[in-house]
Amino acid sequence: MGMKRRFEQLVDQHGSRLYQLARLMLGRDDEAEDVAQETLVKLWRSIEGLHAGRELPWLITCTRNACLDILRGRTRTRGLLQLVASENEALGPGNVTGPGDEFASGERARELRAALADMPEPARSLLILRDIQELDVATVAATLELSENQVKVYTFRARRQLRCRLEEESDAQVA
Amino acid sequence: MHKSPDSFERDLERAIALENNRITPRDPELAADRALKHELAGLGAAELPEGVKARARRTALAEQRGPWLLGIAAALVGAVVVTLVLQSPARSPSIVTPTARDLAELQLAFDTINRTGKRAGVLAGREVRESLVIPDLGLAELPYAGYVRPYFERPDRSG
Repeated sequence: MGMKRRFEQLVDQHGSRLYQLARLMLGRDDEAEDVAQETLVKLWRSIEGLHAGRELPWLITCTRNACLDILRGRTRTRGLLQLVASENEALGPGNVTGPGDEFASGERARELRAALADMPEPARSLLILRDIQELDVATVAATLELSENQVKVYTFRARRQLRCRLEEESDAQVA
Repeated sequence: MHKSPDSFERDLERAIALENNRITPRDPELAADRALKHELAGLGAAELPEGVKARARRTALAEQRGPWLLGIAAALVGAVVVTLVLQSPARSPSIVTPTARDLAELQLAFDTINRTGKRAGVLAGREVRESLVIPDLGLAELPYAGYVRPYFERPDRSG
């Protein structure tokens, strides 16, 4: 298969997934677009050396690393409180809605995204890749360099941690 | 994430039970986990904007074209250089054999310069002789003394 055709196929197959991952990690559409585009350009430059079947873990790793770089930059340049405020603002309906995102405008969806954005790594990535994007355990294990059992256990714990946070916030609001 | 091996095994069992939908009423926590899992799955997909796809494709295309353009440019330059090198012997000037007229004109020119130069030397010498102390240049030892002496002799005997 020609490189160009293979590139086009991978963009069609995985482009949206990468964009969603970046969106959920960063909480901003504009930054997510930049990360997705940067990853696809890197894909083009590296495609000849990529083994067939290894593209998805590679793409997710690139996207995730780019997001983590941005998040580290945010932490360095802004205070934590300002960061939380801007992420909550960014996760409002006006920022993260888009075509195909039918639940985006719901309050609950906003709460989930905000709580997710607040999770530490790798818990956040595990929940996005396993529960939201429903990637198989083997792919997630290859991407995050964990064993399959570690993926299962850490995802389980991350989900429980997220649930506890949501319940605490809900209790705080009721109070 | 750092817990005892026992808790790891216990959590692994529960994770597998949740994946396989083997939840008992005795475990409401697991039921709540499953409910959250379903909620997260329902957050919906986000389509990659067409603009991002298009920009990525354009960048890839530009990078693909880059080496080809360089190759074409290099081939053109090489062709021009080869052409110039092959043509250069034909363009070198031919050896010209002067005619008798050319030689006569050339001799006249040299004689004119010679006479003019000598005249200039005489006039300059007249002007500065009163002020100069002419050193002993040892002209007699020079092989071309005959040519130089007239310029340092008295005006009535030069030119």
